[in-house]
Amino acid sequence: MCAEWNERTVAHMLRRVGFGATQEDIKFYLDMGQTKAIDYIINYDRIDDSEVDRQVASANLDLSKTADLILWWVIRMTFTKRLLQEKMVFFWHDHFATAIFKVKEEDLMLKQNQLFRQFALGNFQEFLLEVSKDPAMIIWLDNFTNKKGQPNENYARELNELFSMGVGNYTENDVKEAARAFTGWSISRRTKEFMFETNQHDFGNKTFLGETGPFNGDDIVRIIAGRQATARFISKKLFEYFVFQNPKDSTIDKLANVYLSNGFSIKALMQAILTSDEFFSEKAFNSIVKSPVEYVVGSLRMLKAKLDTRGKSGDIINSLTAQGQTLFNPPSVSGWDGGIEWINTSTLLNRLNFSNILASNRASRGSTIDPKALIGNAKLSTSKDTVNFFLKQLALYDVDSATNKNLRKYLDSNDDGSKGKFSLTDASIDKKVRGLIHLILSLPDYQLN
Amino acid sequence: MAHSRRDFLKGTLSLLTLSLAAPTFSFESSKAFAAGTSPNKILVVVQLDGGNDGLNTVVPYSDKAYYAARPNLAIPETSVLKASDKVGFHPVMTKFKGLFDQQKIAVIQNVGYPNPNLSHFQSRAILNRADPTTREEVFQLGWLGKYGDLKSNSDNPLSIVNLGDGRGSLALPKSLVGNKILPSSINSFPLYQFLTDAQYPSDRNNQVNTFVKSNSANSTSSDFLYIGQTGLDAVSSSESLQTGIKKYTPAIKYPENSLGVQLQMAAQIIAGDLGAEIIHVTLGGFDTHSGQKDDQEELLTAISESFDAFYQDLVRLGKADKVLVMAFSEFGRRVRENGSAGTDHGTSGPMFVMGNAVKGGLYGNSPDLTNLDSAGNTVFDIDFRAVYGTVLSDWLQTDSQAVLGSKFENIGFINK
Repeated sequence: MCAEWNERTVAHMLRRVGFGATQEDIKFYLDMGQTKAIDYIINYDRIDDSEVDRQVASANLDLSKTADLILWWVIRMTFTKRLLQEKMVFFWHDHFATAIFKVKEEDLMLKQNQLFRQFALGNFQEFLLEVSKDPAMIIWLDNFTNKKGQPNENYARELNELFSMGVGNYTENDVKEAARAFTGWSISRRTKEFMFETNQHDFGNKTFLGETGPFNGDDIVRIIAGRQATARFISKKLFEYFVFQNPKDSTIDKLANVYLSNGFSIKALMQAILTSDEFFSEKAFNSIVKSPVEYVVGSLRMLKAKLDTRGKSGDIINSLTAQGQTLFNPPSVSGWDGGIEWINTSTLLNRLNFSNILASNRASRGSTIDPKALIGNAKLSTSKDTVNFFLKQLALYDVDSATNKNLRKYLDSNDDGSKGKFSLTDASIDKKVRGLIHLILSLPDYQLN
Repeated sequence: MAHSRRDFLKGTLSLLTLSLAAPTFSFESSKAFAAGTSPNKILVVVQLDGGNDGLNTVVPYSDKAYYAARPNLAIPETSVLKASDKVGFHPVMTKFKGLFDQQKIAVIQNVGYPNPNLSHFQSRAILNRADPTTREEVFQLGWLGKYGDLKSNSDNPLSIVNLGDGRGSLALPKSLVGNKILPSSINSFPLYQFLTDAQYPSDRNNQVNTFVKSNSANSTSSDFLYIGQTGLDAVSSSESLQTGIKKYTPAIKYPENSLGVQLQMAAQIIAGDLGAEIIHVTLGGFDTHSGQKDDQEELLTAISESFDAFYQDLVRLGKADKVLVMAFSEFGRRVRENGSAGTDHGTSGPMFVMGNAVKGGLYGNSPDLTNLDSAGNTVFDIDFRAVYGTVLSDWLQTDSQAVLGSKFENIGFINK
């Protein structure tokens, strides 16, 4: 737990468990106190999230279209109050990375996404079993072609390598035997639902990770879920996603024990991560590069943007792709590379230009913001007040004084670059405050979470 | 004030200290790139993503084993564009064959590496890092990144350029990862600009200057510094690019496919004298597990026509002596066709080199189809690092060992 419970630490927590941190949220969680706040975040079932449903309903989406499906999820991320639920779904989408470019069926991608939501903090053994039966996954990793006598190892391999234990914790023979256990795990052509094809299943004995029996897929999942290697793999992946890279072995050992002694509960594991000293340590602050989705959704949330759902928010969907992340379409089964690999001159320019358009769009097409409404009743008389106000609006508490001064200088400067004096008027809001928002979203500081 | 770009290496403290000591970036000085010196030798690398079926590209039409293994997919001898009494090109590659006949193209046959990896990601990482022992998931420098660190002008973000065709997003290939050099990734010329509020163009300079200053800020975080430098590069390289590409007037018709688009962008950058030394382009879609015939025809047509248009354009621009093109794929494909009219992942395959400096012709031999490995794949003759090494030493005039770690046979396809 952290020594100080203040706006800065709460903002850090919210950036990690959700998408951005609005001032309202920061105040709400600050007032709650740390223990209650984390309890509230984790037990999100109790939170009324009907606003999301209202927003989705008013968008009039046709979920059989990929673009609408993406927008559906963006709306959920932008308006949810169950922050951690949506963040976990986003995590699992990268972990069990499945892409529509091969699955080709929107309804199956939606169904998988709902499965991730249902098991977001669930029991990992049950979760792995449901993922193994998930129709989108069965298409994605070819398990419908995995038949007795003609095994296809694709799913069995990734289950071991990417979904649970990681390389080095099983042999090639374990993969072959696991593939046999999953023979006949297919989908019905008619209903597109999971179907166990008895006559395609290999009922013979298999030896997997030292155990022998006439194993079916359930047995493979049971054996995997209880392995130390799985406990460590999933603990490390979650820790690195939520806290920082390269944790100590002892940290992962502790978390692996939490997983194993709590019946493979992801909820218990997340509780341990969010209440760890590491989570609130200085090392964790600003140590993760925002993904395009975190960048875009966080900005929309914190700037209270109005989405252009009539225009199907093409501005958001297309920019996310250009920034390097198309929801429902990870590049491969290993998900997005992430980290600093999000950043190159092309993807970064697309971020910056997204922000410019968001900050400066005054038209009816595309997402818009209302800087005047954001300021509300706040008394901002100088450039200093205004810069500090908007840094906080965008949950930035660690911008150094040189950059702060640089932003103030921007507000104070005349068109020719000479020194003037900023004052808050409708005209300066429309010109300089919009410009300031663009510049803040373009700070290296803002690319980090 | 002259600026120097920072050094980057994930997680190394020594470099971090260097970065902190780096002088502050000055935006004005970056504009000097546009008028920068044009390098004498430019390398254009073409990555054929997915694993090109080499046997149906450079067809061993005199080999019975080829026809036996591919009852449906084999190219009939009568339609092969014959390059020797043993092999010839796929029938759609007429323009490519024309360049080959003019000695502008070298075909290096049966290229691969020991203990081949049949995963796209792993094998691509191996080719991109020139290291058969690498694992995709670890951080490691790329072979062109290492070259850039040794030789490129690390002050010019356009000295190494990664191009895309404007669709989707553009990732940095692992070959271009370096310590000192930071390539520019350009997916579309019109979108490669730092935009500011169109309503107040008079405020643009203020915004650009503020952006540049805040991206030059110091930090103890290497990610922060990397992002800041990428931001500075994005602004300065886009300014140079937008000016430079105006020097180009299109005159040659490029085919309307991804490779055509990218090679025309490359021609435009070369014509702009922007100081580009390495230009990387990618053509995807070679993973032809099913329905290979039509897909590969389209892809090989794209290669043949785009290479020809690019070469003609370079001649027109007076740059043909300065440019070498090298094409590779992460692996070839299985000798025996599969049950869905396609081919599965294989091992060795041909590489192509094109340019006025090339000693045209065939190098090495077609793979021995009667002597396959246990998985039914061809056994390579020429290590891909020997091809890289020849390009490094004879074209880029660099100590190839410094980049590749050891010496490989010079294949001799460059006129010295």
